[in-house]
Amino acid sequence: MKTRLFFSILCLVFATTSVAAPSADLLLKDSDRSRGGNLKGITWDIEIKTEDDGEVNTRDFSVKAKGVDALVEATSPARNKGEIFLFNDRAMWFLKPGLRKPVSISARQKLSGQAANGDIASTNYVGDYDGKITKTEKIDGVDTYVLELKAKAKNVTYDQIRYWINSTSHLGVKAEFLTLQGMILKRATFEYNNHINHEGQSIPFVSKMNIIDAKFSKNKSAITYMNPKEEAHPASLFNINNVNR
Amino acid sequence: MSGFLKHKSLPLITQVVIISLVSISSFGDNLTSKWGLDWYGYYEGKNLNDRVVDPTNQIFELPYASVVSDFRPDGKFSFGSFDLRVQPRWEFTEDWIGYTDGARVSKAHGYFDFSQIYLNWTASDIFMFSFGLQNYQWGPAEMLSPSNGLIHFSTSQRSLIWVEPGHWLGRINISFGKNWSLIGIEELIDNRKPAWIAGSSFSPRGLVKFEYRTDDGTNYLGMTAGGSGDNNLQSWVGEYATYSPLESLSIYIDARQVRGSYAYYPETVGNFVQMQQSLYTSNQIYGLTETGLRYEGRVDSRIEYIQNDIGYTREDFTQAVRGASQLSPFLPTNLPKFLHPGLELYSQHYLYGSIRIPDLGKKKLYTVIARCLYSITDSSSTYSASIQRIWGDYVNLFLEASYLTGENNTELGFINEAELMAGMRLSF
Repeated sequence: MKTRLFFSILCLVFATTSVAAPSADLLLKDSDRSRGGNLKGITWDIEIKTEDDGEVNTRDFSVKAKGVDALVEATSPARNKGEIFLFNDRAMWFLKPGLRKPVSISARQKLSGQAANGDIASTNYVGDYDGKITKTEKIDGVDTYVLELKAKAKNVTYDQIRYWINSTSHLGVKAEFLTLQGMILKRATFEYNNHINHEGQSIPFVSKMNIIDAKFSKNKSAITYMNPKEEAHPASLFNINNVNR
Repeated sequence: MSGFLKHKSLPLITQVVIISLVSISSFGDNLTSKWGLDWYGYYEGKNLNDRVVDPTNQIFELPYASVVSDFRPDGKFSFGSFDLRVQPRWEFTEDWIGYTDGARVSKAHGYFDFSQIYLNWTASDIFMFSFGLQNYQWGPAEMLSPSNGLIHFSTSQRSLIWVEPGHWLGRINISFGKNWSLIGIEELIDNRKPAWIAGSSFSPRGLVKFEYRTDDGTNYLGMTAGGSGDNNLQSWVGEYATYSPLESLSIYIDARQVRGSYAYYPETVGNFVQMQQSLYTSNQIYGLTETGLRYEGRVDSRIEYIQNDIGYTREDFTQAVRGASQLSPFLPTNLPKFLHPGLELYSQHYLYGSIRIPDLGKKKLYTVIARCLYSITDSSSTYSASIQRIWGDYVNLFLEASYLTGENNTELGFINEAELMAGMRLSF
């Protein structure tokens, strides 16, 4: 009788656990949403503060993003003001006052410091990566799921990502960006002090991303996200023919 | 200062500015505006060659040195689906001119102009309308944009201080998402720049452009067709495309085809040369094709080949120079036709190469660009190099040099042989 009771409790515990553990896709979908993904579109201002070998640089941009597309306008410093970057997935276009026509530039060219283009546009890890929960871990007293993400295609920003997602809020709290061979390129932490209205609800939204070069820890970037709001952006906004020169 | 405020279409521009500003300002608090200002100050020195055309420098009055102060404000006003872009330009120049008789004079002149001023209305996700003085170009190639028959090549366009003059365009963009575009453009009003074909007068001209881009944005294909009702612009069809087999590598083409040619060619009339539209009635199809290969890694490099079927042969160019320099009854009409013959480039075959290295130096403050255009037709060439340095948040310093090689009756060798420019851009 005792044995039967023990097995019943054990079964109940396993059943409860399996119901409570969300799928990797759900975790990514939820965490993406608080970083601009899976929305009708997002508008925000960002500041990228870069420290490169002791040299500090700050650049400001206003961003309109939807899925893999983003229209980014440099607003500061003065020497870069008016420069426009259009991201169409991996393709990037550059325009600036006086330039004859838009010039396509490699997605390898970064806007600033350690910040990859994918960090400036909205995040779509659920679409770009196959995720697997590998373990749970406590980060600064917070329970997290640790996910291993592998790129579905070659053309995404990073080949692999190790991603820590808060098990309660489903917000990404930490990430390691890796090469195909598993070497860590960069480490990042995230803060969520912004809120946006999404389908009538106020949801937490990313306010800061701190990125540190894995090899040279003196090289780091901090992206501050300001004034985020969900806005429906038509696909034609990201058509290079429609960008005002 | 005699040329100050000499833009002939200023009253029209003023009307557009006032009407647009009044209309938009009536939107009150919902109006947003952004302003920027670039000031360019630079010195330009030229080592002039012994020229066959205008050897005394009395006609062209090419300066051997110039100092330029160039203000370029840039304003954007937005309300809802309307955007107004205003880019005036105010330039003062002091030129030092030398003549072969040893005389040297300095001349100061200035002008106020608009590079762009246009109103844009995004009527819906599909339709966008635009009208005003604007620079609207496309194409994957660096040197030319043959599929765009409305805006022509300028020898100065690769310079760091170049601003493309706007054209008075009415434009409708029909977009089906970010992949498909159908665009209609009509150049309605003369922008008062020198005629591309000497002696021709302006008449409205237009084009339609159709474009498809793949989802990832890296590959695209476009087709154009355009022309004018008058004889100042030939009807053409054009194509452009880019294909990237690898992330850092792309191959591209930009081309147009015309039937016959409206351009001027040197013809022998008795003992003289007269510039004539020799191929005006020809039914032959001529192409202007630019093909290129681009590699973009740490360094952005390109190599392009240009085939200009309606260009001059080596012999044609020598004859054209003769027609524009030797005393003859045709000299007064030959010279403008030689300077504005209606050709994007004079010769038939070119090679062009460029390399751009950004973020050089320990603090990544430098950008270096080097370019070379080589005329296969007459073996003349032009080399140019520039270096830019970021100096704080507001200042860019730049140095640009160019050197032309070739005999003085070749295309790239006949004006000046060396040029140096040094200056700064101050941004607010």
